[in-house]
Amino acid sequence: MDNDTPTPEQAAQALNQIDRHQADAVHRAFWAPWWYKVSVVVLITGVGLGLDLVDRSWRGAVLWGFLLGSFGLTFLQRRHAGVRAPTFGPHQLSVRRLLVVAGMLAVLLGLPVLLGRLGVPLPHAIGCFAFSALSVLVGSRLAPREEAKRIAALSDPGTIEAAARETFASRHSTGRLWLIYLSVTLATTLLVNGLLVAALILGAHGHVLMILAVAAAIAVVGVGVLTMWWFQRPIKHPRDGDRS
Amino acid sequence: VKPALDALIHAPARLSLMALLAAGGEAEFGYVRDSIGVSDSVLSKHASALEAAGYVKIRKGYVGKRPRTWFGITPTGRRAFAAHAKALQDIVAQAGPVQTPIE
Repeated sequence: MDNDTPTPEQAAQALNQIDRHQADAVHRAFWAPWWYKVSVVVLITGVGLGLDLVDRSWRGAVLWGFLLGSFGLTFLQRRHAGVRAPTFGPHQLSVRRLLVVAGMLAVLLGLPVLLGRLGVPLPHAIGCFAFSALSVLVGSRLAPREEAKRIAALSDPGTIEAAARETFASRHSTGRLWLIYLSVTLATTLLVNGLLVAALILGAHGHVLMILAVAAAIAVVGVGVLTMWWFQRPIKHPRDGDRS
Repeated sequence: VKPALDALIHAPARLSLMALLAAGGEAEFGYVRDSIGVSDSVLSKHASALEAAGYVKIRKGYVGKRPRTWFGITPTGRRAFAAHAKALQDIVAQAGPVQTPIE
């Protein structure tokens, strides 16, 4: 080996450095913005709730409040996130990808109809919650592992778990984190949308309900953005800079 | 056989930058700077060198009134990075079990 070729120890250290940074970026794109994702689930459920509220003067406020909240939150996430949602992999549409998209659309459109026929109350809200929560949670669980397989240097999904632990300062395993996400998503959705349903049952005045719906959407967007910023804070690796 | 290492991305800060960009879609200047642990000027210098080589694309924009810079990796850069990582893996594989330095 000549002087330019790194020793095996140096090469191993460089690979370790690559793994750390890639795990951090992949984790940051999929796990870290989880409050943002929870907020999206809450807002989409709110849109479903708006669709369920037929013949009510404040239906439009609920529907548009949560719909605009969803777009606003996505817009802010896109503008402010340290790592933008990666456009991983090839862009050409494969049959598998088309089938997945078609399946998701079928579930999104079909689930509320099915729930309605089964006599489940608030079928759109429950259907939208089930669809968005499962999409986010399953996507968050599977995508980093799939991505780890694709990236040349990052071969160990355990590295992503280590990055998750470092960011959250948590002792939980990835599986347990996933369950926590599900619980928090359900609890937050029930808290925000349940408040509106309770107000509807109690027969609150239309203007009060409008204000409640818009305030809830703004609060969800605000919490989503603030926690997104917090969890997006970078993990410093001073050694890399020292050696540059 | 001499491994096909890319001298342009072998420096630790450039390797970190390429690793981050290869894993993400676009990364914001401040995030990359803090994550790698270099100063603004050092990061600009490395990013410009990689841009000149066609490995990195630099996009400037605004968030509100604040200017922001975003980095992305080009297909050429992705191939170069993958080849470099493969070369590093080959070096480690040829040497057998290597004790990775403790972080």
